[in-house]
Amino acid sequence: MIYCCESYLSLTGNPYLVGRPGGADELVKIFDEAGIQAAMTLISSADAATNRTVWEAMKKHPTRIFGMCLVNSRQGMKAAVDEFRMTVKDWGFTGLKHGAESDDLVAAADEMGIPVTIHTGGESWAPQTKTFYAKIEEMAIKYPKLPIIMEHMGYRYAVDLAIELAKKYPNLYLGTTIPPACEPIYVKKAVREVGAEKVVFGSNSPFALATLGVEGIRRLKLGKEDERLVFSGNFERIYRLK
Amino acid sequence: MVKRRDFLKSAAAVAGAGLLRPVSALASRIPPDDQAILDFETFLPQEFDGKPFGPEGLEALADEAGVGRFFVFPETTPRPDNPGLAKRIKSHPRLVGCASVNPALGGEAARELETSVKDLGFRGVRLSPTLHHYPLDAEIVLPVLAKARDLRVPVTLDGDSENAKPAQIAAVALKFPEVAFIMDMGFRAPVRPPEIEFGNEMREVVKKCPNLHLGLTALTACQPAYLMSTIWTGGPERVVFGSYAPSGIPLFAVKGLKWAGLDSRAEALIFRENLKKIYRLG
Repeated sequence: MIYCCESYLSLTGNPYLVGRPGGADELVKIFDEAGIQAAMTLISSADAATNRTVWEAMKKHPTRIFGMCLVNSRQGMKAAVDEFRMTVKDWGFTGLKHGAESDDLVAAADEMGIPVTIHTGGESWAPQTKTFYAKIEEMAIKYPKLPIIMEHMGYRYAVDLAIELAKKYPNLYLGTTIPPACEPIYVKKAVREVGAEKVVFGSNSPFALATLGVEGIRRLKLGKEDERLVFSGNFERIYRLK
Repeated sequence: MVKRRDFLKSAAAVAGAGLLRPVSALASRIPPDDQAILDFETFLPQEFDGKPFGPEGLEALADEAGVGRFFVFPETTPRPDNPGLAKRIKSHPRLVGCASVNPALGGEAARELETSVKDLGFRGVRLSPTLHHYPLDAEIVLPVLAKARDLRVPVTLDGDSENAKPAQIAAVALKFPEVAFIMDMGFRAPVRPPEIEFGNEMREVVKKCPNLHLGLTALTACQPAYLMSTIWTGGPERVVFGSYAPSGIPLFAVKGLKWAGLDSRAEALIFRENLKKIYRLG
C-alpha cells in the first residue's frame, strides 16, 4: 500500500501540465500507474481550481483523493481561517497546506487536529532560508501535538536543516515529494539520520513523475518495515486512517 | 490499468536491485557506439551510500539505462582531485575524464585545468559556483575560461543557484563566444512553460548565446514542466542528456526524457549527437 502526502489537482490548461490533460480522473490514472492508493490533494495556484474543485474530486474518488486545504490569506485572515474550518467540518478535508506566514491557520489546525504541510524547498544561500526554518521550529514548539510535514524535506540545499529539525521535534516529519525521483540518496540519508518513522512518501503528482518517485524509494532497499513506514505506515498514523 | 501497474511493479522490482547494483543482464541494452546514449555529467566520489564507490558503480548505473559513454568529473570538494580521477578511470574507456576546478583558489585553477587537459587527457572542465561559493561572473573565473578557450574544451556549469543565475551565465557565455558551455539545469531549472510570464530569462539568454547548451539530468527530467520547458527553451539542438550519477539515477533520466515523447530526430540530438559535436567525438 502506498499513500502520498502531496499531490495537486490541476485543471486541463494549467501551463505546468505542459499540454497533458488535468482533472481528478487523470490524477487517479497517475496514481494507478505508480501504485498509489490515495494522496493528500490540493489545488495548484496556476489554474482556476478551488477547494471546492478538490471537494468535487473527493466525492468522485473518495478512496483515492483526500482533501488538503489551501487558502489565500490575501482574502483576509479571518476569511481564510473560516474557509479552512469549513473545508474540514463540511467537506471532510484532512490536511492544511501552509506557508508558515501566519499563526491563525496553524492554531485552527491544531484545534481541529488537522496535520499541516509546509513547503520546504531549500537554497541555503538565500538569506531568508534560516529565518524560514526558525519559523517552522517555533511552530513545532508551540504546537507539540500537531504533526507538521516538511514537504520536499528541504531539498535541495537545505536538507541538512530540515533533518536537524526533524531530529529535534517529534511532531516534525520529512515529506519526500520529489527527492526520490531526482536523487533518492537524500531519502536514504533522512531515514538513516532521523529514522524511517519520520519520513513520509510524497509524489508531487502530476508535476513530478510519480512512477519514478515510487521506484526511487524501492531502489533504496530500506528493508520491509522501513519501506512500509515510508510508503504507508507513517501516513496512516499522521492522518489517523487506522 | 491494473496490467500497466503490475508491469511497472515488476519493472521497479527488476530495476530495484539496489542503488549500486543494477541488473547486469540489462547491460545488453547498450547499443553500438554510434547509437549509444552519452551522458554529459557524472561524478566519481570515493564513497557513495556509505560504501566505497568506483568506476564499476557508474558503469553499472549506465548499463541499466543504456548509456554508452559518460563524462565524469571528480567529486566537488574544495580542491577537486583531478589526478586521482585520472588514475581511477584509466582502464575504463567508457568514462571520459573531465576536470573540476575551483577558481576561488586563485591562479592554481587555470594551471590545474591546463595540466588536466595536457597531461591527464581530460576533455572538459566543470565550474561549481554553488558548492565553491563564488559568483560565476566574478573576475577570478576569467583566467579559467580563457584557459578553456585556449585548450578548446567545453565548460559545464551549475545553473540553478544564486551564484549562477541566467544573467551571470549570459555574461560569461558572451565574453567567451568560442567556448561551448553546458548549463546543468538542476532541480529548479530557470525556465517556465511559454504561458508563464516570470522565470523565463533563459529564453533571451539562449537566443543571445549560441555557444550555450542546456543540460538535463535526472533532477530535471523527472519534472515534466521543467523538462519540457528546457526543451522548448533550447530546442532539441541545444539540449544535452545527462544523469548526475551516482546521486541522480541515469535510468530515471532516460525514462523522464522518453516520457516527453519526442520524435526520433530530437531524441538522437539530445541523447548523443549534440554532445558528440560539443566534445568533438569522432
